[in-house]
Amino acid sequence: MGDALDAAMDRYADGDAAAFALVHDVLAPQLARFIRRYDARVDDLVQQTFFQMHLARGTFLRGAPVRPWAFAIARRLLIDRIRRRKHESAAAGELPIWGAAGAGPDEACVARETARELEALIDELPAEQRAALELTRGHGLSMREAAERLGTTVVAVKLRASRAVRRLRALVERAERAERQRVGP
Amino acid sequence: MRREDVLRFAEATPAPTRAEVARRRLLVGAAAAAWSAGIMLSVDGVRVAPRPLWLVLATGIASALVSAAVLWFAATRGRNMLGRSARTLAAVVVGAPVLLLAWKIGLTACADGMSDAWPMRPGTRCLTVSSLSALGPFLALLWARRRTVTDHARWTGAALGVAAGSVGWLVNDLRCQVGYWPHLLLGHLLPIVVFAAIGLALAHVLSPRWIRPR
Repeated sequence: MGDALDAAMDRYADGDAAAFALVHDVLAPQLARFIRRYDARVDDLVQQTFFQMHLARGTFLRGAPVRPWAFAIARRLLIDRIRRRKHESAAAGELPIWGAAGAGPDEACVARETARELEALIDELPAEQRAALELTRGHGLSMREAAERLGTTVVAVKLRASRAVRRLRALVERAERAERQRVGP
Repeated sequence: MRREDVLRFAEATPAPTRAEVARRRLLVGAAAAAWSAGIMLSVDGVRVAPRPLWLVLATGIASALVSAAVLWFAATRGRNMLGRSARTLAAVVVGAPVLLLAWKIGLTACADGMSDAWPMRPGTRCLTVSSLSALGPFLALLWARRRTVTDHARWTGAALGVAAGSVGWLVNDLRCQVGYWPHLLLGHLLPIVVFAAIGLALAHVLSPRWIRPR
């Protein structure tokens, strides 16, 4: 299916308007499944992803796999949506979701800080490792599903995910050491 | 799923095809090349003496090869729509200027008297020529990659700056006879560093509007 999909995107990039319907029909359910894990406004984000793909069709590389590109666009749209929502929540004085689970104000504050620090550390990972980690550990996808989404092999996803965990662990340890040095004995 | 909305949007909103994009990029690339060539010709063109011809050829060809390679790495995405890895881009950003400088200084040291100090030429003229020569390619590269870089926009911006700066280096290499290292640092290398910094700062131009550059 990947080849037919990539060929359809190739044709669309060359100006064959009808090929976009095929790209949409194959990718839309997969993108929707991916987005549904984070955001209820699935239709909106799937639409936005296709709008961006359409506008950038002239830059699509001949023979490149379309799936990783589409998922990268969807992922970035999703991140942008979540960030905007956080800003809006903060502006409205609301507690973010992890602070609202029955915890006291101190725990909520610590949880919020930890989540922010972890997010920053995950952002430091290389893009390939980050994507593998998020799909397998964050979204609970199987290695095979993650490999399909990323347009690569199962072995590559396993390697990237395990490297990501190792690197994340090292980053956390480094951050803890730095914190200990800052606070002192 | 609002399939019809997506298809209607695609039908109603013009988006350039690959052939149109390639044609525009070719035109802009040609204009940038003409700009740099024009700058070089307006400041005496290629000057050999007092350098030996072999030195001009060796440094000029090497600079041209490095410039071409850096332009290739920075301007294209390889085989992946997500672009080149941060490691590759970092290698280009750091490696190209070091390589150019090391080759120039090393080779010039082999030619008698070519590394001597030139007190009357500190490198400000070369700085101007190099910066002007690099400006056209830099703007063309920014235009070609604008709003298309989803990952590593900052590294890509810096690599575009190094690519444009290396064109400036090539122009200078063909016309400037000075091989004294402080002159090379100020007049030849500094423009590359400056354009890399500007590219880094303009990463938001490269990212699609809805992405915060990384």
